[in-house]
Amino acid sequence: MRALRRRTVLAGLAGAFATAGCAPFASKPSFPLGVAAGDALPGGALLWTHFTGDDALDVVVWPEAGDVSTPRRQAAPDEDGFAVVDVTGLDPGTLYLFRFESADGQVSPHGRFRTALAPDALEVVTIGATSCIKHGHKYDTLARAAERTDLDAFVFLGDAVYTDGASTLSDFRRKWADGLGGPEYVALRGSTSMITQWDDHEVRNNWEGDKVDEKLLTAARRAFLEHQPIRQDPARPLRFWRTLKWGLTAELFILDARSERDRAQGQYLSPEQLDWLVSSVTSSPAAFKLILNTVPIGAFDSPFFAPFNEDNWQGFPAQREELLRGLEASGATGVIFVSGDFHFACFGRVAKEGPGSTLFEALVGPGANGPNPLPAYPSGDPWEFSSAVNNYTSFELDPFTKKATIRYHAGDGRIIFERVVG
Amino acid sequence: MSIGSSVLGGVVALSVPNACTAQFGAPRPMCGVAGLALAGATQLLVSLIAIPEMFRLSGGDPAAIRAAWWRWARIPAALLAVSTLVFLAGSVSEQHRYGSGQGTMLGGLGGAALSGITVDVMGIIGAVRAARVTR
Repeated sequence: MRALRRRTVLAGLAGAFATAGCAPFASKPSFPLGVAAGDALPGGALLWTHFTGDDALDVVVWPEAGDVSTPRRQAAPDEDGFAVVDVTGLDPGTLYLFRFESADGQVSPHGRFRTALAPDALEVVTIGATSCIKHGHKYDTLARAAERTDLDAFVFLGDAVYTDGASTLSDFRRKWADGLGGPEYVALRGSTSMITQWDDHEVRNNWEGDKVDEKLLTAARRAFLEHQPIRQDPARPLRFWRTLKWGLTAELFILDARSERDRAQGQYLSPEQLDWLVSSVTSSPAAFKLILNTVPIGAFDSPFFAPFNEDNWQGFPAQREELLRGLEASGATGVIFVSGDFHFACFGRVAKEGPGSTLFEALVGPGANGPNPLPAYPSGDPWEFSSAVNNYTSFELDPFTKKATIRYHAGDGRIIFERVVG
Repeated sequence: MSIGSSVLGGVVALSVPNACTAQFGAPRPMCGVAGLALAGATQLLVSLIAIPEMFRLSGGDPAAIRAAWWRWARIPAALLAVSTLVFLAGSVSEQHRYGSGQGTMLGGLGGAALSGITVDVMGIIGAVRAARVTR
């Protein structure tokens, strides 16, 4: 064996330290989290990026097919590097590509999105969804979803990153950068438009609107909005519940199940949000009404679930029953709850009997996380399927046959469950 | 060493159902039973074999200490076995129909946790007392 020489060792260490010290400066990307589109409308979408440079940004948008000779260019003012541009005037139901460009010539990766259908349009729409994506776990389900070109939008149904332990805005930003920074996540966010809502881990485990530190919530909310482009009512910017329409095919009702909780009043949603939900679903002309629910509403009321039920609809039985009865009494068809949070995939009816027994619920995710550690998962009536496999779900909504094909996809590309409802 | 055997038992108790979940894509109640039974057996065997040998270093008689350990810990050890059987009964029911055995399974798990800790505590007391006498 060759003897180690002092100078050789010193030279080696110096080289290693220099490499480690210089690496972050040499390779720091200008758009480390890529680009994203959010909350697509028939005429546009919110286009997002995070830019680490100092120069002014523009966003450039052009159709994926057809006339690409006159791209649309629009200034993209940013705050602390986070830019969200509401691009309007686009054609409905059309695929677009976009990218951000800085004044000094730096160019982001391309993003892709489809504008929502025209209000009276009737087409098959396919929407992906997952929840519970934790940094450090394999992002292969995200990679599989990103490879698809047929997803009209992708729903991130809460716990899109885990910011637990953060207390300041810079803490939250660091957690978001860690969570979103994986190449698979960047690819998925750039591959189609996103529909996002927060759940608990964007703020703190099991937080509720009536018992959360206001400073913590302010920092968490700002970080959430900096990273997830969502449409806000300028008159009520803290109201995150909203609806998005895809022609006459689908309407998505995006609930905020955290901010408006008031346990003393038995309030899971504010009365305003609950009334809005029931009346909007009732009056919606869409063939399918997807209620994006973050935390499940199904009758998971066996002893294993008792410790968790305080945090979901089961802990607010009066409102739960009011909602389920209201939806069933409305006669609305094509209603599907899409939920997350529980760290297992599951499909079935909301209840075996009584309120909710005619409604379906699909629990999506975890996208990248450990499985729920319970020793048994729901099976048998009213459930048809449950799985611990990391997954994303696709909802192929056919307004002509009035059938929704729901598929659960594993990270290795397998379809682990398929069900047609309608 | 005694705590180590409990930790080892806990690791075994989790690893079997985790392996089942990875294999089948969802947990199976009977895998939990296998994990619990294996964990209890591991804890008892490691404690019975290894702990008395430790006292050899301080001049104790391992055979006498082993006998004392067993004398003190045998009742909670029997309760550990009973708890595992309770968990088994719940799991069989749960395997048959979701929700029907969960209360029983939780009772078995709780009993197993309490009796497992008691095995450690009683075994240590018995072993230390025997070591004092035989030294």
